Amino acid sequence: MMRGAATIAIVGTRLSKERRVVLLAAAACALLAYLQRYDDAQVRLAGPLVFGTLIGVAVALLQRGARRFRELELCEQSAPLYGRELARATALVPFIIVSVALAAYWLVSSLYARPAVDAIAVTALAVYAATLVALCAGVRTGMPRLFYVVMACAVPALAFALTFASAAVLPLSLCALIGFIALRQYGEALARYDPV
Amino acid sequence: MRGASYSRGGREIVAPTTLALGENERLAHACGDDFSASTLALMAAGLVRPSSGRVFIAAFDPRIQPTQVKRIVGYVPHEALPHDFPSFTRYIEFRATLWGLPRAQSVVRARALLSQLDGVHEAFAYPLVGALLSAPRLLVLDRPQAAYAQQILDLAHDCAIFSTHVSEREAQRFAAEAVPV
Repeated sequence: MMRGAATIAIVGTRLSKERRVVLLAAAACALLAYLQRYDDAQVRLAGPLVFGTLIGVAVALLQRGARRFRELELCEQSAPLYGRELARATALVPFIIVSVALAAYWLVSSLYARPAVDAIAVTALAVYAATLVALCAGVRTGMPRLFYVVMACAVPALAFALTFASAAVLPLSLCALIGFIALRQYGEALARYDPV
Repeated sequence: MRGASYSRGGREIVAPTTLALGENERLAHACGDDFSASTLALMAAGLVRPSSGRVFIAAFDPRIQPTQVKRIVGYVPHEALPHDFPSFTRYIEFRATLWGLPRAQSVVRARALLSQLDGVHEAFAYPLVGALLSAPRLLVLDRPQAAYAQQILDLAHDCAIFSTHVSEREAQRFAAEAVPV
């Protein structure tokens, strides 16, 4: 079993390399919250969903490939860790960045309107699920990569549609299920991942 | 390695390769080009699955027992630079944590190993020390410089060493430079 220390080491090292991205994501979301309209419930939900997803997808894609973390990736891959363990550790990084970005959004938006708990929960879960699906795109190339990116973008759209068509439990459950499946998929893909 | 090859997108990167390396043995293998040498080293370290054929490391199959294989193999990439780490100590602490080794002792051991690599560029010395930290039984080197062969050999002691090279001449030079004492 993976030790918690290994997870902390991976997350800490990757996050320290992503400090600028964290700042940029938080600033972008804070700016969005400042420019956001608060008189329409649909627009209020769509704003953080779209921006959060964009940030989540971008950060997830930056985690692998593009040789940004080549040394770190090789080091992690050659460590005696299982794919699922590595998946959980690396998935935490975009999770944290997205959480910081969404927190910045809600912090600024709370100055203008009190955020609804339902909206916060749906936004957070939908963006997390989209980020996890986008992580699967990071370990693929070509058409499968594009397919996963499209699927990642479809998750918040689905959550948005369901929020206004049913009780909040349905989009929340759906996002949790998609996120769980995506994390498992990512772990399996990472176990088969060739760092060539 | 039994008829192990690697292909991607219909292009054969590593031709079927059969080779065996016993304990404490050394083998410098010429691959023809950089990409092939890099991929073969990754296959030998159990980090890349061959498209066909099998790779066994100390009777472990990396496809079935990846963590067991990674515990006994030390891999040193060609282009490795611990740029992702602010210092050598942080790099060693990171590796020690991932391999479940005591951090403080690992740093002391790493510094002792590094002191033996006088004159070796840190771009190669750091990953080499990192790879040897867990006392592997097999050290896989991706296109190492022949000039460092003797120091690698001195540092690796009784560890089996497999290195990949682009040309036969480089492989022979590396093998010739590394003279067991």
